[in-house]
Amino acid sequence: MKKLFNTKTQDGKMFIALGAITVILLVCCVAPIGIYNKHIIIQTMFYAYMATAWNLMCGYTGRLSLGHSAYIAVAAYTSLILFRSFDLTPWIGMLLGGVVAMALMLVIAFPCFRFGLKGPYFTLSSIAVMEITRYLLTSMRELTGGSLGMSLPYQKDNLLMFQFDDKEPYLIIILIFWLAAIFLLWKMERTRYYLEAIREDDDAAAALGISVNKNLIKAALLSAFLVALGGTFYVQYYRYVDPATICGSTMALNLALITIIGGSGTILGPTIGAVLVIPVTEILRSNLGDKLSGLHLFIYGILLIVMIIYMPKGIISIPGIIKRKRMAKLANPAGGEHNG
Amino acid sequence: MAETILQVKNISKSFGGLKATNNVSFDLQKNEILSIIGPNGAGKSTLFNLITNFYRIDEGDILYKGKSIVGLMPDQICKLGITRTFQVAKPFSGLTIFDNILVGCLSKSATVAEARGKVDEILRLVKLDKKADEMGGRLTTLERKRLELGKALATNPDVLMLDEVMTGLKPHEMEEMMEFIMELKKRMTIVVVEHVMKVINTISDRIIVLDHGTKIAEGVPQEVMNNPQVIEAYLGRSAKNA
Repeated sequence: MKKLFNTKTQDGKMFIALGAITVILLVCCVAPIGIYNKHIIIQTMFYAYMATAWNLMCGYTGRLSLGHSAYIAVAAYTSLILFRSFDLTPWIGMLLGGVVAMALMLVIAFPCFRFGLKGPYFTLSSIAVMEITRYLLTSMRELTGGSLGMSLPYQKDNLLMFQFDDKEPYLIIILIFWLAAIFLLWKMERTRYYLEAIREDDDAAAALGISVNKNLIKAALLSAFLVALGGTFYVQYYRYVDPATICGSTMALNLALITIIGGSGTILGPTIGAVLVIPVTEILRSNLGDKLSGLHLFIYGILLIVMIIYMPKGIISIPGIIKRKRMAKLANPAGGEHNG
Repeated sequence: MAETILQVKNISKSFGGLKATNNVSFDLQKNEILSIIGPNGAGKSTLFNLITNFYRIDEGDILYKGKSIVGLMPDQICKLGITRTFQVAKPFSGLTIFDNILVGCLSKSATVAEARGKVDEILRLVKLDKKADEMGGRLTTLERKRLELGKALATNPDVLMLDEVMTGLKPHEMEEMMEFIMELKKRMTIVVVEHVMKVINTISDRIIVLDHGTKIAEGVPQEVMNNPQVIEAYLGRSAKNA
């Protein structure tokens, strides 16, 4: 326990960061900051959680999926349909949705990893799965309501049915989701090293005794399961889903962009990305939306270009860069560049 | 008679019409250094890839400590105790040198903390202890070779297979590396693929010579070097007739 409070160790810093965010969010819950601001906080934490789950597979293994909305969507629809048809509580529907999402992930991940698909080829197949899923959701009109979408029948404040009139319970639930995801990732230290090694070079990783396929599939399934839980949260919070929104490329791209901006392949990178991107997007959208619609996307794009050129490892790498520059200065006071 | 640790029995491998490995057999004795030599394209690296199952053999059998390892995945073979390096060093560029070695240590450690405890010793062994915090992608050729060796040693192998660790090294660096390999021999069995004859003559207990995928000679260094078939393979037929 002492280790956790030590600001010098990685674990200690992590623990303090988590504690600080939790306290801030709990204060936000009781503070009179208005419904709209609470909504932005919930959205931020939702994307922090989802991007963390995305990062678990894509950031750590380098297998870039731009079709994660497929797993979010199948889970969201699973829990919603079970609720509408059988009155099944979304708390259980959520888990079943997770299982369906994992099954869908297995269908794509197994052949892809088995035959060593990576880089653009893996990304393209992930997009294909998303497109196919969206077409299926749109065309299975009787079951899913087609492109009109499906709404969640309203029940008043009901913890058992995962429905609340106020924002605060949603905020606390998504905070718990997020904490659980971070804790899980933090605990998977060995797997994280394995995944990073696989990302850098899968042959070299295999030569050192790392089972490449097993670890890739483990990460993919876990990632699908976690975003699936988020899919159910999405339905319960917005009380409405349609294929274009939940199974579209905007959602999938958001997860990737947030993670890359924050710092992919790190535990807290996606959270930093979400905290930076989501409120800014929301504010830009609400302030500029009526005058210059689409401007927020333009700014978003520029931000991403700048990030990829100057900070490919994300915001989270800034302290490291500063530290390295300072050390280089100390080691080489003349400041002369030497050729490697 | 020394104990046989690895037996390669009549293995063959074809890529399309090309027979890269043709009916090759050899035994590896415990704590010896066996060198595999041969002209370019003789199938030396292929043999490494076959033993560690990065390529699957078409025919034959490979026994490690008496049990067949054919069909096991490369990572399982590593866990059993056979670790190889790559001809072109493959550092994990995005990880620090410390983490590069740590990844190797993990395979034989129960916890990450235990693995962490082993890293420093290996870093010292391969003389990279001062570079522990640098990224794997920012190393010189010699350092890359050392890191490649360090990663392999981190898995604590019984059989270490080194694919051209000397290539690109300066003469004094080679001396250093040779001493190091001789030192390792006390703890493990080593198979070396090498081009530099001086190195081979110095460190090898035995040599096998491959040419066009076929084993053409086997024996102690002096014997092999004077074998007319070996000279022919290296220098060509006309050299012998001239």
